[in-house]
Amino acid sequence: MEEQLFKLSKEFKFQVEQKQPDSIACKKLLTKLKIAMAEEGILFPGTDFPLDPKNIIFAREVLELAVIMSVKLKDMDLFERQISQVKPYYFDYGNEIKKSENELLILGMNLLYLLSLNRIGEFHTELELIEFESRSNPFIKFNLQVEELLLDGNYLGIQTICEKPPSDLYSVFVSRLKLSVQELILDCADKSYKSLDLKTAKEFFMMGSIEEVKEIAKKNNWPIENGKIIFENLDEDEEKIPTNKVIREILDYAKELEKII
Amino acid sequence: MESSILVPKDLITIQDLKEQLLLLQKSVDEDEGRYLVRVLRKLSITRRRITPQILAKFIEESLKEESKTRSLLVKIFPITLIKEGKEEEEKKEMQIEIEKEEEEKEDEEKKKQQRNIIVQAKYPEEKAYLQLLSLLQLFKLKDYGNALKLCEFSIDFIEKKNRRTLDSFLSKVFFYYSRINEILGHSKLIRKKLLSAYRTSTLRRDVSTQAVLINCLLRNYLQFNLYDQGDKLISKSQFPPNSLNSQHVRYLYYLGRIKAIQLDYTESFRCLREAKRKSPRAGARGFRLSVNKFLCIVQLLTGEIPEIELFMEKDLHKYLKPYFELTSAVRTGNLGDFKKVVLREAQVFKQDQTYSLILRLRQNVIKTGLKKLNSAYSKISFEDISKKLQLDSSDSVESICSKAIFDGVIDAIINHEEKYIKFKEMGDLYSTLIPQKAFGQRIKFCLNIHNTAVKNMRFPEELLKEQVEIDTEDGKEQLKELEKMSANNEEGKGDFDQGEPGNL
Repeated sequence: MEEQLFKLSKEFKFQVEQKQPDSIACKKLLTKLKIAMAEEGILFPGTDFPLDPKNIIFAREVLELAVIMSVKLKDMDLFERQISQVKPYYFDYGNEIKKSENELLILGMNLLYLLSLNRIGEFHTELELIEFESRSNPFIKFNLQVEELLLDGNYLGIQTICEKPPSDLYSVFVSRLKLSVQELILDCADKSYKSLDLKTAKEFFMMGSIEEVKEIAKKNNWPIENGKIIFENLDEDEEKIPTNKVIREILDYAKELEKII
Repeated sequence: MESSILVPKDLITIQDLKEQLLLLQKSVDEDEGRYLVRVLRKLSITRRRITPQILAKFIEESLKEESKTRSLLVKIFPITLIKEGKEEEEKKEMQIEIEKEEEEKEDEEKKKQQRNIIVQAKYPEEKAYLQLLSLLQLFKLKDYGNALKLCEFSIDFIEKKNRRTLDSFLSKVFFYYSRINEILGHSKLIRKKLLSAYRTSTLRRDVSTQAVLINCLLRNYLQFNLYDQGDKLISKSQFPPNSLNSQHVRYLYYLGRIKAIQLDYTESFRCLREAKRKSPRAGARGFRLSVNKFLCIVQLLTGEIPEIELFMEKDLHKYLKPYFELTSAVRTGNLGDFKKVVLREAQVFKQDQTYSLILRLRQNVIKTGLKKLNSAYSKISFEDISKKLQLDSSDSVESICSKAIFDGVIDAIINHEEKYIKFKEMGDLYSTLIPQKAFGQRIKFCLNIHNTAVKNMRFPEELLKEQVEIDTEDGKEQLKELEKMSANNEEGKGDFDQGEPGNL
């Protein structure tokens, strides 16, 4: 049984490390491996029995490769599942075996994934699990910088930093991040500018060409005059009185007063 | 534990212990929980007066030979601790002679008789009480190995009996079990046991143990920064509403900390503020200090500046100094100062586990700075902004301002060509709906307090009315008394014991 496991894992590693892994073959291999490991009792052993470090390291390697595979295949659901499967090997079984080299890489990818989807609450809970000393590691530091820039609204800074991610595997998440940042920029620009000429708009919105800018303007109903986009800022001079709300509130107050008296 | 003679003071303590055992027996015989509560209330005084010698003698007297409790405790507190020699007897007699000279012969005879009464522990409650006393003593002496053994024995003993009267004992034992394991560094290993004990106590409706176990588990998770696990525990369990205040306060504290990490600052602030209000005025210094620290940081993160009274409590003043400096840096919107304080006091913050929250304050500093500029300037160029706020480059300033406008921090329009930002003038505030909203909030809050007060007031009156219905013969008389009582209540002179119908 062990021999088969080793053979499968070697094949799996070979497949994953290619530039463009074959999706069907990889997924098949992964399922086979997981079943084999579960049968051997290596997949998620309970803490009641003494643990064999070799088995744990083997299982962890396989799961790390699975994470990398899901990134290369750009399958985000699979990525989430695999991350949650590999995390116990870092934290719960962490004391028995020495640290994996890829630990911070994988945890960093998870952080960036959460950031790109704007799940800031989960980002912070995950960040708490990582020790302070590891925060200076480039994989984690990158994420912290991105988070800071995102919070500040420093979108130019995000652009510059995203040109040099610490690993190629990050590129998937970086492109997703760019999309969310674009949406944010559009929202901010809508509120803060009266008008913006097309060239600067192209730079701001991080778009490729002026055509794209015109399309976006059409989508958001921003008229273009003299090569400038005009943002309609809502004038809040005449605010209507929300009559229903006010009436309801006053009736509530009257009811409460009656109760007291 | 050296052997020594039992001093008369110790004899008095033994006397008190005997009385407490009798009270426990009475509590079980008459099925009245009050006596048990009374005994436990005196626990903090009793535990201070106990010594190993007292325990040794008392255990020997009160527990039967066959009892397993006795065999375990006798190993820990051997009877050889007490020198029972003739000298002791002579001293006793001398004392008695001196006191006989005063005209209290009869009292002395009584006392002698009482001293010789042996109270045998009949019920498991008394055995559990003795186990608890021994546990507290071992904890005081820092004998953790023996204490752990006793804990496990006690937990087994009590869980097997499954009597509701033993609940308060079980909760205390679990608390010390968890704490001792934490001191020994074994917290990870006991999680399973704590979780299964929690399931058992929920099935048995054991309120006090449930509360203590939830708090122990939360403390365990927070020690290892497992905030998501703590969050899951909170969402899947229900903290019993009728638990002791001390447990409720701890729960609020842990809840506040978890919410703060998850960026739910308003909720976190509410929990921490309630925890602070319900915590004791004096004493529990470590807890109050920690609550104040987190309260300060969370309030800063919500965008408000904490009041200076927070830092001015006499006994906590010294330790809150770094937080005070942090608050001043945030208040002035000075990023340079902020960075300096964080760097200087990093060790303190890391120890308090507030460091990660403080790093998030950077955003708040910038926001406050922008707000100040909003009120001070009508137009300002990007370069000037970057100088004043000590931001790194003036290019990023534009996008930062744009995001700030989107978030509603400032009200302005950016002019890109000429590189400046123009703030909108504040219109007449009273012509908007803002005052009405503010009033609405305050009215709701006052009405809430009023309604809760009325609800709490009604409870004893209803009980009184029930009593009136039962004894219809004395109906009229009791009605008169009722009216007197409610009149007293309104004037605030009434003295209602919670839950007991008073003197009708």
